[in-house]
Amino acid sequence: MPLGFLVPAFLVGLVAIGVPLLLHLRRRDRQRPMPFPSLMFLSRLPIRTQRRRRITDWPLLLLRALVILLLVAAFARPFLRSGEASETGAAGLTVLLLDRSASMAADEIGMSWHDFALAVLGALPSGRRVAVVTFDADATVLLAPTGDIAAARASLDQVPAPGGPTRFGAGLRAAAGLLAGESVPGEVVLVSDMQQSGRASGAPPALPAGTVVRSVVVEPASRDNTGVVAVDVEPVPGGTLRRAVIEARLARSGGDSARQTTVALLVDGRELATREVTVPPDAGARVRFDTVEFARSDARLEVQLTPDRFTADDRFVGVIPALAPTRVVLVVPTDVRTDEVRYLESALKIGSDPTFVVQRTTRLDPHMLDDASVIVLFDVGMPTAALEATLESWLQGGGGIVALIGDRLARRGTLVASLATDLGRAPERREPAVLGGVVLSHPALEPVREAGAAGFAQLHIRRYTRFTPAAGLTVLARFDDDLPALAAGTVGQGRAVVSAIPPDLAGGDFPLQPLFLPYMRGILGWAASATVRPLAHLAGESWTVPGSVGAPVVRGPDGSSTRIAGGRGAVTFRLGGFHELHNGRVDGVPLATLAVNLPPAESDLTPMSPDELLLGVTELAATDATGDLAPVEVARAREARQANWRWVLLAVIAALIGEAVLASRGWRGIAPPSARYPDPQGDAR
Amino acid sequence: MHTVAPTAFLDPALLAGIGDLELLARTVVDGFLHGVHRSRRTGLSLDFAEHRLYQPGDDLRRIDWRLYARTDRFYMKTYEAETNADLRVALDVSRSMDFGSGPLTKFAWARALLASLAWLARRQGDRVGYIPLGGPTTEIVPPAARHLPLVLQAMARSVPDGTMPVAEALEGLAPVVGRAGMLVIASDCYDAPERMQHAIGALRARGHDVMLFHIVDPAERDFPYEGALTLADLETTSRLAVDSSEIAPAYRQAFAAHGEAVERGTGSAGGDYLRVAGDEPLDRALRTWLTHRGKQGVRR
Repeated sequence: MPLGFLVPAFLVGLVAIGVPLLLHLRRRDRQRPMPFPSLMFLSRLPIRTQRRRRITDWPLLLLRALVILLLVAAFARPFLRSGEASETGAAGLTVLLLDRSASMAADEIGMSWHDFALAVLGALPSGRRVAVVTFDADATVLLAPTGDIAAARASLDQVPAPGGPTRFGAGLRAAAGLLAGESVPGEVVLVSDMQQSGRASGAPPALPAGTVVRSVVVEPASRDNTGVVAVDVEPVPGGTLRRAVIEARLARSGGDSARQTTVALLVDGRELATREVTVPPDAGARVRFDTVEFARSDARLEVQLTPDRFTADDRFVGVIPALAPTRVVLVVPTDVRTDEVRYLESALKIGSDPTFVVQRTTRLDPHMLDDASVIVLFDVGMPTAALEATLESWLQGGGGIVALIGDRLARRGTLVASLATDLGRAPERREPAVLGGVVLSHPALEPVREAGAAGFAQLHIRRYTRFTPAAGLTVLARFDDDLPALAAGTVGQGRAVVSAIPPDLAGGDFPLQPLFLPYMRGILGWAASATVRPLAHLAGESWTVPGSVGAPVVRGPDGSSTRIAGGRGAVTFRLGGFHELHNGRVDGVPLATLAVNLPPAESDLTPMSPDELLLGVTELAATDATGDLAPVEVARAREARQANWRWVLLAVIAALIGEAVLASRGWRGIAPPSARYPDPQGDAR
Repeated sequence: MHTVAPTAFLDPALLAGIGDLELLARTVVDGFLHGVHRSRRTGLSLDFAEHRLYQPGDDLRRIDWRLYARTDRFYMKTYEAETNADLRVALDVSRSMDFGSGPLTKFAWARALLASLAWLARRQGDRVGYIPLGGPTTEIVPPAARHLPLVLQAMARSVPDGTMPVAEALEGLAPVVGRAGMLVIASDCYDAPERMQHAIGALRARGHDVMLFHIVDPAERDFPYEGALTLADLETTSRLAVDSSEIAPAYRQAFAAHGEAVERGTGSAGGDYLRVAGDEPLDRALRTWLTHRGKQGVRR
């Protein structure tokens, strides 16, 4: 029944046994120093110390050493390995799962994650294999299963800095993948702060039957944390410059009393304003700054708090993109007449904010999608399924499409599957159709909101096309025969609009109505805004690199560079701060700057108990067809075996009592003078 | 350290033991009062010296009227002036004096010795003063005929808490003591012999008759301790762990050599030295010293 230690790093404390030995030798005859008139003669004499180094009180010395030995053993959490060997097998696999989310950067109490990881590796029985996995939003296998413990220790130096949100599910799934091929049940040792916000999400982790899950909790120094969770930028209309009012939202978790903090607003590195704010415990606060003017180029926005123990969320960054025209690719049929698109093109040339730059084409080339803000399908579909798939993919990834359907598509019957289906010619009507049921509250119709529903009622539409909006699109206006006239919605990360209102005079008088201009600009602007860069991204999010960049390189806030292989692809943000996109070389002015912040949930340092995590796995695993078993009972049994430290502490108390009795016998440590010359301290002067 | 009543040092039995001895000063010093000390100048005394002719301004009371009757001339009677000597007793109040292996510490023993000497000197008509060596200067009592109570009171108030080395205290003494006289020092002499010699030489150069009592406790002389022990220096509070049986012989040798060096230095400087141990009777020490002084005769 070999003895093991849960935290063997505490065994370093055994060196403290030397302390009573040294004290014993140095202080054993100094308990009551004897007064002497002068040491002027003695100090000049050579004094040998060999005799003084002899131990004169062995029982007391041994008892004190025993106290330290037991105390160190209690802290090292001793346990018996007998049951464990049969459960997991000495040759099994231990997956060391290291939480590297941003919250792990908070100050710790006592041992750090590194100490714990070393302790876990040090406690592994000989012959056992180990794998090291780090995780935040995603998991990375830092070290594949190996029997080389030294290599595992060395791999800890490669562990990335904390960053990204906590996702226990990602780590557990990676561990499950490593354990899947094992012939004997393995174990997962999770070193984490057990942040509640990181509970398993997504597909349930399914661990192999008999897997033991242990958790080693790294305690943060304080649960009290205040962070900037969001920043609202409200544009101020008017003027030639871009102006906006900035409002920061703060959230605080934990704490006992209100906390006074300073919030600073910086634009392009310059501090523009500061505000003092009091944040109550477990509550939020809003801080509103005065109107700020931005340059026409990209503006870097920062809101900073007075740092607390967890600094990763004390700074919110954002990028207010430069003013740029909205690039429109107008795809028209090959037989299009000039008067068909005249009104649309004219409408897009008038006005600003946004400014439209129209590129007309009869054949959509995939490369056009790289720079396009919005694609307008003017009564035209995709000639090939491949091109349609490319367009749909672009839309899903954040593109914008406006489909203006007419007679040609009615005859064809199809558009793009993710936009509309069941296209056809609407029944012939004697009287012009009138639009109704307009959802003016939709942002796509914000420019026509002033005209109201009455504006739509004045339209006289003689001919239009029937369609059925795809899933995800909402009908915003209908003809009086209840057929949809306008539908809009989000498809993936993109935005799509399908309009059956004829944009030329062949189908009605819409181009001649005052509603036409704001209507067209409104739906195109709304669809194009999907391609507008957001103020900030969240850590853990992926961002698709524009295809127009030949050799994209993303430089992170820590100075690291990530090259996108093949020139196209996505990058997943891990660290908070400003990320820069370069082409080829990482120097000069970046092509784009993206701001990344920690997800607000990561600011809440509230922990959950290890059982919560295990129970979550249990429930998820029970639904799995493989019938994987929850390791809760095994973990509890092991925890019970680690209760030996309580008995060791009792032994420490008993030894201390014995030491007190032994040390108070009175004669120890005193070298009495001879009987003829009594101790001067005791004379009757 | 507790103060005691001034008369506590003046054990009548002790004084009776040394009452047959005369304290004879070897040095004739100026004084105002009659005593047993011999002076070179004539003046007011009981011992007739000679007659001389009256000079205008002489005290008419000193005219020898009988001789005038016989000679019809005015003669003045002159006497051999017998003055009192100034006796200053200097007590070392350093912390090292607060040590004693017997019933009395060195300090208590030295204080009893000096108090006895002061009493004895006063009985002979000498003027007595007191100097706490290394102590506060406010406690210095200048020599005067009626200062014995003050001397005893000041000695009673003195406690051994000084930290000034004895030689430094003696060097600082030379400029402040006034008229030349006898200076009796009681100290354990824990200082460099050369410095003590220099300090006593400076006092001798100012005409003082210096007598040094080297107070020694039997325990610091014999070092009778056994086994390992830690000694704490009374003056510096520094500590030293020693094996007593290992270092005792060398210590005794060093202590004896120091005493001899101090004795030689005191003699070379013109002073007198006497080592007294705390375990020997006080009267025997006084008698031994007074006898020793009596044999010296007048030095100048």
